[in-house]
Amino acid sequence: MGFDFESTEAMAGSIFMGAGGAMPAIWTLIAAIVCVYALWSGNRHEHQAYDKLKK
Amino acid sequence: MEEQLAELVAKVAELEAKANVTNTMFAETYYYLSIPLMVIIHAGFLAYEMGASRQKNALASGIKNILAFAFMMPTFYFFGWWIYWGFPTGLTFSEGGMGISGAGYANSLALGWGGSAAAMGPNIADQASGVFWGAFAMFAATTASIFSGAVIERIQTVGFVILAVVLGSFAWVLAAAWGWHADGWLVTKFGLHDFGAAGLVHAVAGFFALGVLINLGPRIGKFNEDGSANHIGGHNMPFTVTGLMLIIVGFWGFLMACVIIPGEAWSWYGDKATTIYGTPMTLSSLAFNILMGMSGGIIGAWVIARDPFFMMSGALAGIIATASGLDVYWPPLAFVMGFAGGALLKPCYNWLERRGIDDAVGAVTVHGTIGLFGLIMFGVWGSGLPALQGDGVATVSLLGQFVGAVVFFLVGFVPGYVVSWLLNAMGMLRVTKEAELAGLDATKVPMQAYPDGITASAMPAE
Repeated sequence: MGFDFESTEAMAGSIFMGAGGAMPAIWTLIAAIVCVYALWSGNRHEHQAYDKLKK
Repeated sequence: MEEQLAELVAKVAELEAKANVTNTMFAETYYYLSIPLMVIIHAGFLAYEMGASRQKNALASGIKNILAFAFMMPTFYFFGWWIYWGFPTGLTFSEGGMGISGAGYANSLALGWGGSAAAMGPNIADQASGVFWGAFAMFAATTASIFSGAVIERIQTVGFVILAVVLGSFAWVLAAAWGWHADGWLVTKFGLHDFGAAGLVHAVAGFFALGVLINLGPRIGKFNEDGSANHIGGHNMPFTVTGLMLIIVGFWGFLMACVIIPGEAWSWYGDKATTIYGTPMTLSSLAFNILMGMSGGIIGAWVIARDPFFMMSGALAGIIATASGLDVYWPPLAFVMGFAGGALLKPCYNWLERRGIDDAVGAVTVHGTIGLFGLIMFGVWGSGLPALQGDGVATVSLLGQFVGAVVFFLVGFVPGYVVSWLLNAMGMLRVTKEAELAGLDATKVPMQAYPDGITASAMPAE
């Protein structure tokens, strides 16, 4: 990631970090995994709450 | 003389460059500002749903609604936007006549990796993709919020979020690709016209909710053994009604984002605004017809129901009943259509309730039934309108609008029913009976909506 622009004059087209490399794909995948983890964690918390109420 | 001419040419070029920058900045700002306006829709749905919940479920309803919004953004980024550009010609992923659809086209601008990433992140050569994506993501979130209210007080949070993603980042996007895209097969073959998304947003979301409600079942205590229904009132009607008004404020952003403004490389014309189909229109059309339709809806609901909940729902119904043709309705006709939408609300809501469907906020009726009503009726009033820019294109017809209505019903209902059936089979759809009776806030939310309770300040009038 990071940038190698020498000045703002060189900033043309894509200006996001990692543009043109493999990192955007990797971060897209990580973001998707975070979503799946959040759902898994939420589901576990929710079912634990229901089980607790039953006891 | 030549020197003066050269100077003049340079001056004109300079002015042209400045005008282009102004127009591009205007275009970017126009869609950018539609986004916070559409966020107001979600503020409205949040207030609406929390107010319509009983006190014991107020925060759980809020959490569910907020999460629908939050999960919609990344999932629409990951795959929803691709579906819109990839699917217009049907299930073949082929390129349409306008050359702006198909798998190849979608791969070039709607994926978060490879060459497509240039259109999916900050790019100073592209001042359109981000604001268009943002506006569409907000449409997606709106569908999820429409569905959200119907299922309050007994659906599991994660099961709900999964359903919201299926609706917002898949089902309605498919409908939009087919009926809200210049290469959409419903448009090119059947002349479908749904300017303000009465069918492809509202009806899809409303009937998705119906599919889910069938598997989810009613709240405990909603129906008696003889099948008669009890009214389960929310804990804060003023909050609900204010939420409805906020939704209507946000609708102005939703509808302004349905307009393609002129003068850019991606515009249909250099000098006039159009619908997403490239048919000419003005923002004044919207001002006339939204206000007339909305007012008709309020009055229609008041005549039939006499209560503020249905009156504000009637405002929504009035806009939805006219949404398909807000670009070309004659304002008094929009008023009458709005009136009909508002008047139909309560009878349609009661009809559904008599069939054992517990739609807590009337979402199936307001968005589903009235959405299809508006879509089909536009085929009566708008027959002959060119469906697309250009010569020899399909025109609006009652048959075309009816085909669109059937498709949108199925695109909403089938995924809602199937996915909720699967979630139910996996134990991820409905909360336990104990949790429903105790209240969802006490069961799983680590705070209280009203720690000091709510006390009546005065006795009600006799």
